Amino acid sequence: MTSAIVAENLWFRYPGSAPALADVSLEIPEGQFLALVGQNGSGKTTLAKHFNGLLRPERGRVEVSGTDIDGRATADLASTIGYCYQNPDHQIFAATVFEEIEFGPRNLGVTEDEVVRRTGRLLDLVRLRGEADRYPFSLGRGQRQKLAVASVLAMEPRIVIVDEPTTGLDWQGGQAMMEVMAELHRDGRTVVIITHDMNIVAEYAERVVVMANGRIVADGEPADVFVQESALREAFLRPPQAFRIARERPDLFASSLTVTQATDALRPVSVGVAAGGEA
Amino acid sequence: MRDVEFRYPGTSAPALDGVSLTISDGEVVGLAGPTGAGKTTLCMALTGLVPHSTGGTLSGSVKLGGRESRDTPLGELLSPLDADRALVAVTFQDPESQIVGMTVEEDLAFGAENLGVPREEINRRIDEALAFVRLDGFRESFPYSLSGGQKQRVAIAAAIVMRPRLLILDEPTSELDPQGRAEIFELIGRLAASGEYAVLVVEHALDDLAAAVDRLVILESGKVRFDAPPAEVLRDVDRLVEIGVRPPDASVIGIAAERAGLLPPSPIAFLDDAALLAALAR
Repeated sequence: MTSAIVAENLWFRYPGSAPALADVSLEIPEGQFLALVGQNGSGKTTLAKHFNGLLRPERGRVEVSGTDIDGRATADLASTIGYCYQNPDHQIFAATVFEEIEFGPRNLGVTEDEVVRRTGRLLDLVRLRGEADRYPFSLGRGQRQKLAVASVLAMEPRIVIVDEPTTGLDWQGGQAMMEVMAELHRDGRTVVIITHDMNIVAEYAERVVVMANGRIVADGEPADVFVQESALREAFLRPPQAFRIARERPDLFASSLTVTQATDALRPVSVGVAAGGEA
Repeated sequence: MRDVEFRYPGTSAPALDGVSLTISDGEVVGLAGPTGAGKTTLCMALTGLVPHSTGGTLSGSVKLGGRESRDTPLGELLSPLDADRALVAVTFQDPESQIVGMTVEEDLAFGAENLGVPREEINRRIDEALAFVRLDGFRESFPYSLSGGQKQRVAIAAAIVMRPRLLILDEPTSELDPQGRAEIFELIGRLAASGEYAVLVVEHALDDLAAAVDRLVILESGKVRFDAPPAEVLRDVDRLVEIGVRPPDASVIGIAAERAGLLPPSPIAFLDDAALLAALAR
């Protein structure tokens, strides 16, 4: 399998602080949906910023799609790996929603027809078609977040990194944003999200990497990581309530990760015990 | 608040649409609802900013400590009822935006100084407030150097120093990580236990909120859809999902377990995993 990102033995330190990354290695296969979790200050955003050269390691190396990125400018990588900041307002700058989205591909030298096609498709994907002529800062927070993601996607990167896609959004807004992430994943892209929300990890991620104090303390499928209590405690995280319930009563809920799985697991019970304990 | 209808200037849809709500001394109330439901507008009505600063049209009655908001100039409306005790204090979601001083002490003194509380009394209250939010020893610290959770605790301590009858915490955890979030909910629990303040907590996620409050108010499109103890509100999981607030997993699974015949029907929802697991074990 081809690797989207390979990080080898990364060390990084902000001036005057303890190491933010202490010998971190991580390999992300192409097409994976990975969640990076941990406390503020644990190193997760620092690590993600190494993937596209926003930060450069003191020691160690990063490969993106099989190429060492040492010496390559972040701007050159933008068509391969897109990075969305936690605060959408850090990247929004254009006068209209449409111009914000078309800026990236236009800058890459994409043909006019293609720019218009991409921008139109993304306006539909993030449901901002009706707002195309609006001033971006007049949009609500959720819409600005989606616009920021759309403007990164317009460069059609194979790898998308989104720092806290749902922070500041309500439940429906968060779900709409995660549906966009899921759509990218179905489309074969590598998706890396940074989040605090373990429900999102359970519902969307194929793999979760837990960071604490500049190191990876757990790495695996959500179901396997959620049982690693000491690692989670070190990162001040708790598995979703549904998982905690299912783990105590596997007889009722099997290996449910999410509330939907747990309630679905109960359905066969009401159909009748005679059907046999397959659930 | 009784039958309150409010429209911002130049808008036709009401931001608050027939809202009636009473918060008694010492009561802890949770306020939830999707973006745009009117949560912040409601908080602003409780501080007099709606309609005094925002303009717009307000009908119905908003009484703060017995004063009718519409008929009372803002300065008089918010002046202390009791000596040295503010009527309302508010904290906001971004803890950094609330920092006014170069030290934690300056931040904590600011509001109380404006109330005219004597200096020695302010000093005493600062000590108490820092102990209460478990930041003793941070009196001389530079506020910007603190973690998100610590900054939000400083903001709450600054509110406590004013001894408000009503303390409004507007999305106190939305910018915080899980540790900061746990710190704030632990603090809300002790604010509730103290019985000294009425507290209104605005929050998206019901998991932590439900366990921390006496009453849960759910807003949708400017209307109060629920106003009851959490264990009652969380029975109606289907309606909550429809409104767009996520009920705790334990409440949802509890209802499903009743429907599957695993649990007897109950008028009370499960607020957390421990409660549900205990019932399933019986």
